[in-house]
Amino acid sequence: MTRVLVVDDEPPIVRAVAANLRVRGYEVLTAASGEAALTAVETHRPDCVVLDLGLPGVDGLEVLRRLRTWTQVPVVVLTALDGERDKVTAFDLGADDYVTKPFGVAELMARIGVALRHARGAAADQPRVIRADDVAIDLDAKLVTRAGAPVRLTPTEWRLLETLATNAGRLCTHRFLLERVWGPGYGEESQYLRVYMANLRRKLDDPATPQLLLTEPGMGYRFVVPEPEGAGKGV
Amino acid sequence: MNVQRRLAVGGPRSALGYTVAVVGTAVVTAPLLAVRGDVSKTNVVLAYLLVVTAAAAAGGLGPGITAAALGFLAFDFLFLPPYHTLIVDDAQDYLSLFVYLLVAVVVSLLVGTSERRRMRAERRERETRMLFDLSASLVAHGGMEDILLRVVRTVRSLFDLAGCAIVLPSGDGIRVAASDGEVPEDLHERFATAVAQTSVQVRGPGGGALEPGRALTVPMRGGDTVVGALVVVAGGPGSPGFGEAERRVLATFANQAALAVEQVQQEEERGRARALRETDRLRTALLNSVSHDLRTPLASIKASASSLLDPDVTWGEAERQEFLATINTEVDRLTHLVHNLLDMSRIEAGALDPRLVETSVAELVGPAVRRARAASRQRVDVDVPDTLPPVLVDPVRLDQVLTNLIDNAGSYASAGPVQVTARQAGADVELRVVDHGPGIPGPERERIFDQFYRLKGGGKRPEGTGMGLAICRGIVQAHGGTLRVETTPGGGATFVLTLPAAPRRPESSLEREAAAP
Repeated sequence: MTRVLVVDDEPPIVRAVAANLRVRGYEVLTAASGEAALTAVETHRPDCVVLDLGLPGVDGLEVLRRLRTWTQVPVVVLTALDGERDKVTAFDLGADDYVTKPFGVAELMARIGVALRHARGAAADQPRVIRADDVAIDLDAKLVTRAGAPVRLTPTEWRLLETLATNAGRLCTHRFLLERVWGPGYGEESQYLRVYMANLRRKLDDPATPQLLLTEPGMGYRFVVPEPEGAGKGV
Repeated sequence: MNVQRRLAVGGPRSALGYTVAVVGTAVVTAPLLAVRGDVSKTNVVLAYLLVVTAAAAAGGLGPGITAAALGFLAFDFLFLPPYHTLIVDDAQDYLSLFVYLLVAVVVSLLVGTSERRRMRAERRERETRMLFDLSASLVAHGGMEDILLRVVRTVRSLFDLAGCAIVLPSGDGIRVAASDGEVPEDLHERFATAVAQTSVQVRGPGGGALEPGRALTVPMRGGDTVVGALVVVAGGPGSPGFGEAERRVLATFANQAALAVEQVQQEEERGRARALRETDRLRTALLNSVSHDLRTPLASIKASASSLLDPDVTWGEAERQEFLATINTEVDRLTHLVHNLLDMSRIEAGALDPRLVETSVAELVGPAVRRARAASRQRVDVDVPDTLPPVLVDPVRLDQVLTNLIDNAGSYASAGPVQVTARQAGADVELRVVDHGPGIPGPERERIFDQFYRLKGGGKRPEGTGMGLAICRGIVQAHGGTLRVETTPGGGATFVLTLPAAPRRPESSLEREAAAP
């Protein structure tokens, strides 16, 4: 059974999130403080952590920092209304995703789902061909087609797209992308990223209103695989 | 020791007088002695009187009397027989000697007195001119710091000082409100002494001039209280010195400066009171508006939730759904309101603190447009050329502004699509959010950016908090941009947002590679 640790100091939030997770078949652990969270992760080894950043005592960012020294367990962060800065810091510390309070439960469940899938995907086989809309990305052949026609990419553009596509659905921060694609030391050069993203969008997406390569203002980019039209209703 | 110093510092003037007395007597005596037999006693007396007059004119009374005495001795000793003794043979010579002495003393007195008067008049004139210059430094506009800085500069240059500072009380301690040049370290003690001083100390230690590098503290009195202290450090050798006259001028001036300080302090006090009143007024308006906006959703939520929890009633599925939907939407409304209130208070406090990042306009517009399309199935047409220069903005904040403007346009322009366009306008990038709704009447075009202002429309209660546009403008202004509204040709409202374009960077090789097809 998939085990999720919910860390928040507000009992009503913990109750609501836990109930929703149980109903969906998860095993739920809870912790009301940073210290308790760290102990719970060590003793119960959950598959995913939902972590509130505004904890009393050892705060959420510190919990995340300590967790990342020894475990890659996926962490979905809960932030307050005005926690923009904390959000960026959390990602730089290795958070997998975030949900802003107050949140809809459906959104949180979706984020947990993506984080878990990604963590499993890293271990198990990943699909080597990613299809989104009329774009197909073959990771092994390093081949990109749009509506069946091959798209020519520069090596840098390919590395950027590859990074985004293998993290499909997840938010990739500017720093993450820069360090992955350009290497360490390029973490601040976000103007490179802007130029290359514009090129990728021109080649693969609608540059004015992108559907695949989405901007998260102030945070980074997210490669989304749109649900095929009508697929949700048909099944 | 003091006596010595007083003599030493008697000034170059009296030294000159004594020199004239001694040297003049010698110079006059020598040629007269050579022709002693041929010259009449009257001429000798006149010659010595000449020396007395010159000495008195050069150095005042003291040198005059000295010259008279020297002349008397020389006349008696050398020109009245028997020579080389002070004995006088002829009784008539006694008369000559007596008349000489009398005339010499009277001349010395008269010349000395008029000289003193002239000097006093000169000094008065100089003092008046100084006071005038000093006062002029007070008559000016600007804050207290500006005025005080001007004062210390003027004082320093007028008295040719090594340094000058104004010390004002601040809380329990003191602060240097303005300083120019060298400032002594023991300001705390100096200020305490100045406050304790009951009368203005015009005379320095020993009444002499201030030695180079020595500091003097002058209290600044406004009425009965000491407002602050003026600390001066005397200039080095070569400066005109800092004597009694200067002290007097400075003491008078310090009190004038005290009055000016008090006046500015009162003005600032009044300004603060005004600002407080204004804040109070805003707070009242905010409370009135917000309490209503907060209570309404809270009441709906409470009603719905308590209904659902009521053990006496069994609700049908449709009713349960309706209650739950109400709770959900009302919570969203509350969230929105709280978000706005937080932003508003941040803008008011000047604490928006945007995190500026070079961002392309297309990336700014994209997410907001996407969200508007998804949320309300609103048709949004976008025209953002990718040749636009990037802008230096906080992307999160600007996204908030664009989302708000597009939402706003969408809710008023149910008739047609909302258009979002961007173009370069000089050093700015100009974004337009265009709708073809009813538009905004002329007189309301500025007022819609006021806090809590809502367009009066058709009697129905308008949606929103009346804060959205005020927040948008606050955010845009914090970025150095502007936000205004115009009329769309053919009807409707066009919100025009200008943002300064980011300064161009030299193209890197990476960007050139990217530009290749």
